[in-house]
Amino acid sequence: MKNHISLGIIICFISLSMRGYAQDTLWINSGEWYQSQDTMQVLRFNETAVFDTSNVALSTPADASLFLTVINTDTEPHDFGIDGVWGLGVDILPNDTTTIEIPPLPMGTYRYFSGDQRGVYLGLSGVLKVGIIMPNQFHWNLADCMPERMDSISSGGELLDEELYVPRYFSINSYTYPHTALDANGYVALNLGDTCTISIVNSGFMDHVLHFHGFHVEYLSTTTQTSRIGWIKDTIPLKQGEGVTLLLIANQTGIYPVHNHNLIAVTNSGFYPGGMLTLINITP
Amino acid sequence: MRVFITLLFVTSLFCVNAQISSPPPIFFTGMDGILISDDGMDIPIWGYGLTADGYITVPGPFLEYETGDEVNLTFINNSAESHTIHLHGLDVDQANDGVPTTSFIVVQDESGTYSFTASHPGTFLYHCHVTTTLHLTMGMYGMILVRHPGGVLFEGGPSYYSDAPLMFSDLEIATNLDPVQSYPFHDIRPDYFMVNGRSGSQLETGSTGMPGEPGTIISCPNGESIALRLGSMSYTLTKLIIPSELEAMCYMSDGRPVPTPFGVEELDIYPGERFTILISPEAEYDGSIEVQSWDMVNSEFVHSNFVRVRDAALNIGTPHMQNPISLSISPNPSHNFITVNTNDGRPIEDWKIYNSSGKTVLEGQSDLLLMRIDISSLESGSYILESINGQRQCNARFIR
Repeated sequence: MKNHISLGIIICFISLSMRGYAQDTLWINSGEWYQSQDTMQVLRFNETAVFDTSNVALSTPADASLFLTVINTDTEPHDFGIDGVWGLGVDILPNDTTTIEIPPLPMGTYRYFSGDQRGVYLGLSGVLKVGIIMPNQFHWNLADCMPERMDSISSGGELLDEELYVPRYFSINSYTYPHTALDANGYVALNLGDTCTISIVNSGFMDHVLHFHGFHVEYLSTTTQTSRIGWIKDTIPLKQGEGVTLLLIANQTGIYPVHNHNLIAVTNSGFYPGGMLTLINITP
Repeated sequence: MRVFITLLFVTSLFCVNAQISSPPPIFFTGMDGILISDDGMDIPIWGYGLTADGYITVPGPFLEYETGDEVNLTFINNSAESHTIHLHGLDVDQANDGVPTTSFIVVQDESGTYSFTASHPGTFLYHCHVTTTLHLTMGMYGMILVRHPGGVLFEGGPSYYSDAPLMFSDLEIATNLDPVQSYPFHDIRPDYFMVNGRSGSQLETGSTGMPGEPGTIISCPNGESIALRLGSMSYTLTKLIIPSELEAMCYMSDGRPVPTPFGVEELDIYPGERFTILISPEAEYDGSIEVQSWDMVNSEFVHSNFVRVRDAALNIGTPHMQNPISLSISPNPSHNFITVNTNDGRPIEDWKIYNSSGKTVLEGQSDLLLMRIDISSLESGSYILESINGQRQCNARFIR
């Protein structure tokens, strides 16, 4: 999504905070998400009024306020939050528009989301990239879901007992393997010697853990395990709500999987292979 | 071929002063092994073994290399399904990655060789990458240790006395009992939790409960540092509770040094992660590291195992086998006769056969390297053959 920084506005802000600002727009749209034999009613943050199955990734400079206009096309009100940012206190009514000021954040990857029940369970959660300037950038929005629970929520029914939660789909940017290869934001295609960042948030209802074949990656940021910044690993846990920025150096050619190593999550409705699995493709 | 598991092989994971083996081991896979649970249940397993032994184990053979080694790991598939070896964390090239769709697959009665350079010291894993969700819960995994020369963890890293590999894994018994009917895979929820293939009381008494069988006890010479080589192939989150008296310091994760070593009393190890931690117990220390397993879907605690750590001066016997592989049995299973072969060139001398309750059902003596035993009088079931020659005691399991 295109960001706009206005020099004039920055100058106005200098007297207040010595910082710049950015602005962006989100639409809350409803639509259907198809997986195997299941069709789920979902909600998504999109960059236009046209429904797209993936929540859009936002980018903003580090240490600059983000003025975010949110347009709610859903039939229910929604709130808005960012992990680690308190007091946004926003309630966006149906068919209403609200502009939210998000305070300056340090470089990193954050989860933005709607925290009301309908937003949580129908998938209103996305990636916010702050201050990431690498030319090659990818993002992975991890999610897990149980169609029966989504059906109950979307039809206005009761929330199923958490103990009965048995997720059947595990996705990256709303894609499940093998369709993850169609996702330009998630399928990591690079040339030998390139570097890239991968911004990951865990929008799911459980912790996830991603294993990289062929590569170690470096933690550039993490919102919940900050002592790990600078670690170089091949297996990356992501706690619920966590945002992580990784640096990958494409130092060998070939096609290598990246997948959840909680292996129930590399399935689609129980069938292997599927789910939370994508690929890194390094060409000479 | 019917294959079997012995406690000795699992114990080999604890061979703290193990030497780097010069001839490369040749692997094979089997799908008809047995893991004896803590309560005596025979749990079917699939897994890896060494052709020299003829049986598979959970976890598979412990592989040890030195930084810079050029490795060729040959693998023969003796089972009915295709398998591979993924060298988890070693950053091998695509051709040797063990993923069926991007590397190669080894079909029944064929073999393959994985070639790689052990370029970084540290703790790594290996596992089959065919229908991975099923093949891992069935037991097809093991640990790889790449040591750095000079008795240090890594170049410029701390020195230490010896290694204690601890591999955490689990399985869902119902799946292992009937893998053909195990779909769907998303609802696999482990109900049996292991450290080095052992659980519960087996961690101190051994896998069969036989008298004298060594358990999984970390023996610490006073004042020396032990490197805990920790790795998980679980479907659960492993949470270690480490007593402060062990003065545990974490130096490495996933085969790389951490930028700033840190003291650790609690450690989360997610599936596929590895850590290297040095412990330096105080004199006369005798305690345990708690190994908790947490359901990853519902974040609920489900089980605890305990790994005992003791000052070696407390003289608890020999927890680490000097020669873990020295006995083979064929055919296995057998109805009438078994042929017992010692692989170390020493005669069998005294031998006993125990049933699954630990009761001696046959015994005798022999001065032969190769001996035939009539087992026709035994009831159908699993048995342990124990052979004792002086200080050498070895065991092997067979099925009648």
